[in-house]
Amino acid sequence: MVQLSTSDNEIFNVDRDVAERSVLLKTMLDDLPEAEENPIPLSNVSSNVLKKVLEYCAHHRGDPAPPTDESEESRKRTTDIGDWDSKFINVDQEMLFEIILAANYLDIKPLLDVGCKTVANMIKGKTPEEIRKLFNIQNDFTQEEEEQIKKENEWAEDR
Amino acid sequence: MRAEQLLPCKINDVFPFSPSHPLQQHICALFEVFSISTIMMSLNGHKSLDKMLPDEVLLMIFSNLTVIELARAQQTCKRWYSIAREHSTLWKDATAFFSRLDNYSYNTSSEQSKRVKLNIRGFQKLQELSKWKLDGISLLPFGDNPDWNNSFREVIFKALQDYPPTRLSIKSLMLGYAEKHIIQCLELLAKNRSLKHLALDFVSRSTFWNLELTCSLESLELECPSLSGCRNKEGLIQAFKGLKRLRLISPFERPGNLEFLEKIGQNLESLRLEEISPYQATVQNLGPDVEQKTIICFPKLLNLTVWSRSHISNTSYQLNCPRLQSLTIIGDLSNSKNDGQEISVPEMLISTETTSHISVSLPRVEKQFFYKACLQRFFGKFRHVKELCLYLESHATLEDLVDTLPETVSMLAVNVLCYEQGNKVLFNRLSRIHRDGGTVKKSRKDDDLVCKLDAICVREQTNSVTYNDLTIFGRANLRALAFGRGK
Repeated sequence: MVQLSTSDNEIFNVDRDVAERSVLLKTMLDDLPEAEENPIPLSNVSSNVLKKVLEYCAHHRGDPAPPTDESEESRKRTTDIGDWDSKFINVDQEMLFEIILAANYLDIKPLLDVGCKTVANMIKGKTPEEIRKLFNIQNDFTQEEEEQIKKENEWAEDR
Repeated sequence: MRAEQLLPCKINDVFPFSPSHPLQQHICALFEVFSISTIMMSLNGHKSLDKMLPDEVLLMIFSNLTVIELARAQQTCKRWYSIAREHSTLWKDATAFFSRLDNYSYNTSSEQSKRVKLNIRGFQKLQELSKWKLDGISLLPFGDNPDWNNSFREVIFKALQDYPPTRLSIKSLMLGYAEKHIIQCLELLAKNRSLKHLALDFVSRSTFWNLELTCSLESLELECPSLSGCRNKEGLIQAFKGLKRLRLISPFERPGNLEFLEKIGQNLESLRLEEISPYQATVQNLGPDVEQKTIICFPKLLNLTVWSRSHISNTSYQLNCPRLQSLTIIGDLSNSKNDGQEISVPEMLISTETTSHISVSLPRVEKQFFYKACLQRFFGKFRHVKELCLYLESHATLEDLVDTLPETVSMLAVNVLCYEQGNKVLFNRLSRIHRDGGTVKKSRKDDDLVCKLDAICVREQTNSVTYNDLTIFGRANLRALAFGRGK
C-alpha cells in the first residue's frame, strides 16, 4: 500500500501496482524505500482529480508497459481512444484539463495521450472562431495580422 | 426490444469496442456511420481553460491533428500560432494535404487556376514549415487534368529529388500521357534510400519491376504485380525482403508470383490480399483431378485479410501462417465444388490454432439442413477464437450461429446484410442474449453450452444486398437496430 496526499490534504491509500502506473511515483518508490511509509505529497493535484486519475490507474493496472520506441505506427495521427477510456474521459472541460495536467505531472503517458487525443478531437473540423468559442480563447491578433494569417493558410480551407 | 427504445444511444454503446480494435475498425470501415469525434462535442467551456495547459501539452494535442486541421487551429491565437510554427515535426506528414487533391472538380478554368496556385503555395508552405522534410507524400492527381498537373508536378518532382520522403504513394494513375512522368518519378524513387513505405496502384509491366531499387521497404502496396519480363528479380527480392506490411491487389494473376510472394514474405506481419482469383491452371500443369496445392509459408504473419468478389475457396495454394492472430475474410466462402454446401475458407489456411480474432462474411446455404454442420466445421478449425465479427446474409444463419458459436468466443459482432421477415428471430435471439447479461445458452438439455460474451454488436441493413455488393457498404444507408452488452 502507498499513501498519497493531495493539495487539499486528503490521503489516498493505493495499491503499489496502481500507483506505479505513474512513472513519477514508480521512480520515487524505487529510489526511496521510506516513501512507502509516509504519505507522498502531491501538491499539484486536488483530491477530486486524483480520484479520477487513480480510477484510470486501477483500471489499467495490469496493462503491459507501452512500447518505448516511437515507431511509425504508434506515431501516426490517429484519434483512437479505447472504449473504457473514452467513457472515462467524458468529463467537463475543466476536469479534462485537470486530468491532463495531473497525467503530465505524474508522468502517466497513456492517460496523457487519451486526454490530448480527446482535446484534438474537439478541435477537428472547427473554424478558428469555433475553437475560440469552445475553449473561450481570446483572439489576440490584430485585424491585419488575422487577415494575413488567414491568407497564409488559405490553402487549407475547404473549397 | 424495439429499435426506438435503443436509439438514440451513445456511440460507446453501439460500438462497445475500442476504436482501435480490429472489430470496430472493420465495422467503421464498412459502415462509416459514426465518427468518434462526435462524442465529446457537447463539452463546453466558460473559463479560458486552454491557459491551464503548458506548451508541451498543447504540442502533444497538436501532434494529433493533420496538417490541414493544424493550419486552421493555429489561427486561433498568437500562442497556438507560434507553437505550431516552431515545431517542424508537426508538419512533416503531408498525407492529409495530398489526399484532398484528387477530389477536386472545377467548374471554371479561373477557379481551377486559382486552386492550382493555392495548392502549390500550400505545398511550399508545408515544406517550409516542416523544414523541408515532408515524409508523407502521395501523388494523386496525375491522371485527371494535364493543365494543372504540369505546374504542380514540377514542384513535387523537385521536392522528391531534393528532399526524398520516407513514405510515398502514387495513385489514380492513368496510362498515356502521365506514364512518362511516372517513370521519371519512379526513377527518382529508385535512388532514394530513405524510402520505407511505398504504395502504387498500377504498375505497368516493366516500369517498376525493372528499377534497381536501393531502398529496403517496410510496407508496400501494389496492384496487379507482374514479374514476367522482370530483369531484376533478385534486386527486388532484396528490396522487399524486410517487408512487414504488404497489400496486393490481384496478386496471383500471373505465373511466378506465388513463389515470389513466399520469398518476400519471411518477415511479413500483415498481409492483405485483394481480388484474389481462382486457380490459374497455367501455374502448374496438373490434371483437373490432381489435388496438389502450393503451400506458401509466412512464419511471422499476424494479420491476414483476404478480399474477393469471386469464390475464394478453390485456390491453388494454401497459406501456412503458424502465428496468425487476426483473420479477416470478405467474399464468397461457399465452395462451388460441393454445391455450395461447404464454407471452406479454412482449406486455404493450414494453421488456424493461434487465431484469436476473425472477421468474416458467412454465405447463405441453400439447403438449411447442411448449414449447422457447415458452421460447426468452420468454427471447428478455429479452436482459440475469442473475437468474432460476422456478416450474415439471412436470418437462418443466425439461428444456427447461436447454436454453433464456439465456447471460446467472448466478443461477438453481427452485421445483418439483408432485411427479411425472419430477422425478428434474430432480434429475439439477441435480446435474449442481452437479457441474460452476456450469456448465450444453448437450449439442449444434455449439454448446456454457455458462452460468455463480453460484447455484442448488431447492425442491420434495411436494403437487401447480395454478396457481390459487399464493397458498397460504405455508401449504404444503415441504422443501428439493436445492441446488447454483457458484463
